[in-house]
Amino acid sequence: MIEVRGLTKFYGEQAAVSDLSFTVRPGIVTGFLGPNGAGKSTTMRLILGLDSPSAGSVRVNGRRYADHPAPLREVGALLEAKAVHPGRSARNHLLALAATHGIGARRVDQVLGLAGLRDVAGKRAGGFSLGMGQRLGIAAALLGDPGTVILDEPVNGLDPEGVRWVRTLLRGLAAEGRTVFLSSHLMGELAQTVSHVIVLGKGRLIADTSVAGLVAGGRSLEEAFMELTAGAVEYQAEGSQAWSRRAR
Amino acid sequence: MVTQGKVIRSEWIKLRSVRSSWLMLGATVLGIAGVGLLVAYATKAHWSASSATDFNPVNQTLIGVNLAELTIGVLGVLVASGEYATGMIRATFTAVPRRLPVLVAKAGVLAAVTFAVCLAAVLIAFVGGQALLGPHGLGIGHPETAQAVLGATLYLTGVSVLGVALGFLIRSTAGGIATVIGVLFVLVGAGNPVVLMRPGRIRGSGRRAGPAAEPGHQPLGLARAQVRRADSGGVPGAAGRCCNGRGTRSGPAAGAVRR
Repeated sequence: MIEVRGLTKFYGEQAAVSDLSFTVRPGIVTGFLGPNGAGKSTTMRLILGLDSPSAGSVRVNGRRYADHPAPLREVGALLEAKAVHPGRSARNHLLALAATHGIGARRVDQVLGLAGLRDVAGKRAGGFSLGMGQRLGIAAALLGDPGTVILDEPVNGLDPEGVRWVRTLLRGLAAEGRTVFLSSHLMGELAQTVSHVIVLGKGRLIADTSVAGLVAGGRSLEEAFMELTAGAVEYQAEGSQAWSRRAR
Repeated sequence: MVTQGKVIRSEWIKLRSVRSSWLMLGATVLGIAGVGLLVAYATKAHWSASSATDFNPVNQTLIGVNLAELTIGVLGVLVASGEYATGMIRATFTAVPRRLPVLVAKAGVLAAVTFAVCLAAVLIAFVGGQALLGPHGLGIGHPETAQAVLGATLYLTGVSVLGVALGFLIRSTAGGIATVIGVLFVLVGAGNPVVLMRPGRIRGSGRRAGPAAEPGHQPLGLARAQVRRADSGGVPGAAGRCCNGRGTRSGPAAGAVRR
């Protein structure tokens, strides 16, 4: 369970997120949506205590993240693929993280197998593709067998088999009663995975609703998203007119 | 539960699982022992009567320490800044949300490894070097030996911690390395307090060596020069002369010599 209350974060004068309140419930996969720059990554950093809020609070499983005596056993997070020392092997990377919680090599090998990395466990992570980096990040998130899983763009760079693996994995985790919070821009993929969405735009909450409600009336999730965020898009490609001016 | 001991174990795994650690430690050993033995050998081979006037068997064999402080300082920076550069620091702070245990573990692990590795290298340089110097060297049982060896080792251990601290503060490998070099090699100028920490540049403490010292040799241990203790009760008047022999010369090889 993730409880966000009145969360506000300023970077200088600029509010990255302002007065954000929502709850991510256990037992379902919750999607976290919003255009680029909406504040999704900032919110995730705040949830994990990597940044401190200017106002408001975030609790994960009842406590502030940093107040958990064994945070990896409460929350598993993938914030960025390849947040790994390129010279260290996948297995040593996981062993180092596991050691902070007294988690043994057996669990490390288990998550390596789960993520399909057993064959490259001894290889330097610097040589990994984006997809393999994602797998390693997900393996790290699962190390402590946490009750809450937070994943930022986990399917970026994954092959179709990997995308399907993540989908099955996340659904399975939710079915076990865990809290699964997942950000993505791939609406088609999200529509197949999540049952609830939280939508941000310009740092504010735009929607906190079930997917079933959004796509009612035969709309796709993508159409619903575009409609919701129509006023909140900050970075938008110029129309094809502007682009093709040179050709004229 | 996350404990300091577990974080230390994690940092030990991190340190030994990247190639740069082994490269820098290897270069350190090569710098201390290789250069020390080479210089001792060359000194003996090209010995002339005039050599004796400006000769200090301790500094001569530990001259490689000046090289090692660079490799150890750089390793210290890499240990901390490498995590910021690669993004690994987010994984680290997600596992250990409090910063201090991570800082303590990183500095502690590197300090312990530096101490062990440098102690071995300094011993090789010193003992081997004195043997190579033959009649011009000191015996292993010389009272200055322990002081020189431990002093050089502890100095390098301090440099490793300085590197980690700068790596954490600056968070960039290039900036951290530049700063370490700046602190160790540029800031160390006349009158700067940092000068007191750096063995090669220490001005003579003025204290005469114990009665066991051979005439012509004034082997002032590195540690002694740093600490400037007035504990020389065994030598009458030594305490009074302790700090008045300053400023006669500087330079790595001649730093601690007073004739």
